[in-house]
Amino acid sequence: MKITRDNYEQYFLDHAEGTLSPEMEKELSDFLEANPDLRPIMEEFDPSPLQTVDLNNENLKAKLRKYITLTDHIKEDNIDEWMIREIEGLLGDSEEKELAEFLSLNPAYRFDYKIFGFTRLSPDLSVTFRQKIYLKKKVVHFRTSRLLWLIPAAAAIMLLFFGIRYLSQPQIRSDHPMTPSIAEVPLISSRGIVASSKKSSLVVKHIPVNGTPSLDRIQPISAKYIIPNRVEALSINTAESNLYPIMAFEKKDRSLIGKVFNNMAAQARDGLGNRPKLKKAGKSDFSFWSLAKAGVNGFSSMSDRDLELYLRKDESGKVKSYALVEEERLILSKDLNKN
Amino acid sequence: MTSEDYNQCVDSYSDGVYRFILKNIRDDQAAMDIVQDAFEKMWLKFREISREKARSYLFTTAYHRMIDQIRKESRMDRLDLRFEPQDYYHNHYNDLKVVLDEALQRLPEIQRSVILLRDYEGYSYQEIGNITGLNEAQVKVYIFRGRLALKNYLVSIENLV
Repeated sequence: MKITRDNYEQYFLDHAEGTLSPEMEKELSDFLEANPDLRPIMEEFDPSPLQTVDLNNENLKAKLRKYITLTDHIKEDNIDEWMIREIEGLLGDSEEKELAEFLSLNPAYRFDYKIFGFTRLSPDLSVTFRQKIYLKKKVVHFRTSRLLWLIPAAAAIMLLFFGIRYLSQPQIRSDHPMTPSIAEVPLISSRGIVASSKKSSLVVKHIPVNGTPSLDRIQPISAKYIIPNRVEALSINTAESNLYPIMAFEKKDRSLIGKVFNNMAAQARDGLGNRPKLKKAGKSDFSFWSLAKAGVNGFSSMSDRDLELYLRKDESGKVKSYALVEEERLILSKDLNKN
Repeated sequence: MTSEDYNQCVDSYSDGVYRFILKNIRDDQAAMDIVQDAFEKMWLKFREISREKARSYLFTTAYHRMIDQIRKESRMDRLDLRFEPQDYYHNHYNDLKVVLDEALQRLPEIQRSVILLRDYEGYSYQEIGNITGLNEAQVKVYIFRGRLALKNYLVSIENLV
């Protein structure tokens, strides 16, 4: 017998590769019967389908392969590339057939092909992001076009309400440095009775002036808007008497709304802007955005919400973008330069 | 993109981004922070981002944030802590998934990322290139090398016995 415990491996390998002659196969069978402890070792070399499931066997076979049958394009040095291309889905139909042919001719490479298949990863779908709820934002179903109408409408309501209130109840600012020397001007009633009243909003002061006071500081016409019943207009020759009025409204509110109302009142007194103004109103105070801000503030207070309108301006003061924020949360924003 | 679209993106993509980052850095808290940062950045620009590009934007942002994170920390120290040779993983080598996971972690970061983007998310080479800042050819090379390294690791006897 040629097969001994010292050389059985080569016969096992030949058996696995199917190159043993029938005589040698019989001799091998006899040897295994005499040495049953070696049968598992030989089975490791067995390429039968039942054994290829075992990775260890396959691995050993892959290490033991010697002869490769080539196809037209697939060779030993590019077989890995072909397998990876197959996994990546880059092979055409004819190439897939050629790879299948190669694998059928070289069964030892099926192990490599199988292992390459394992390198295609699949996500563990049980792993999920648990904090989605914190990423989501509250959606406000405002239509911008409706909001654009809503803001000036709210602003107009607020302006109307507070504007009338300011106009009808002017007050002398008590902390004005000139207040102690202010002289009250008698009110002229419709019946011609001269009365003194602290309700009058027109106050004049006799100030020694070198030269004639400038006209923009003399506003006698404003008395028309202030004297009750306005039957008789107050006429003061300011040039002769060196009198000029100081309109001093109490500044109850230094907010934007307050400034807007004060300027509105000043404009009203000045004849709706046709005459020089007591205080030159800033252009921005009467811009659309000022009204929008006032409107948002008004809407916010009426609806018990905490809305604020933020504006971003460029160097020339033109509004570049705006954002509507509620309690530090962005509701909407718009870059005006984009459109 | 509208705010409704943004919320849909949270539902659709947060899991994928989280899995991708977690698989890369294997730090749950850091992965959650990175996902949150990515979505916060998208929220700040959500009107400028189209719905179609939202997913790519999220992965790109998260990927770069992850790279920053890796560079900030001492990565080698972290890897050493994770993969003590004789500890947990040694006893689970018979589990192919665990071995594959181990092999994946041994890949260079860029190879791991491109393979994960390819297999987890099904991105094209071009899309992966956009996310990682590579060109298409580089992406293919990294995927090829990565898969070959994974295969070689899997067939090495010491990992299968």
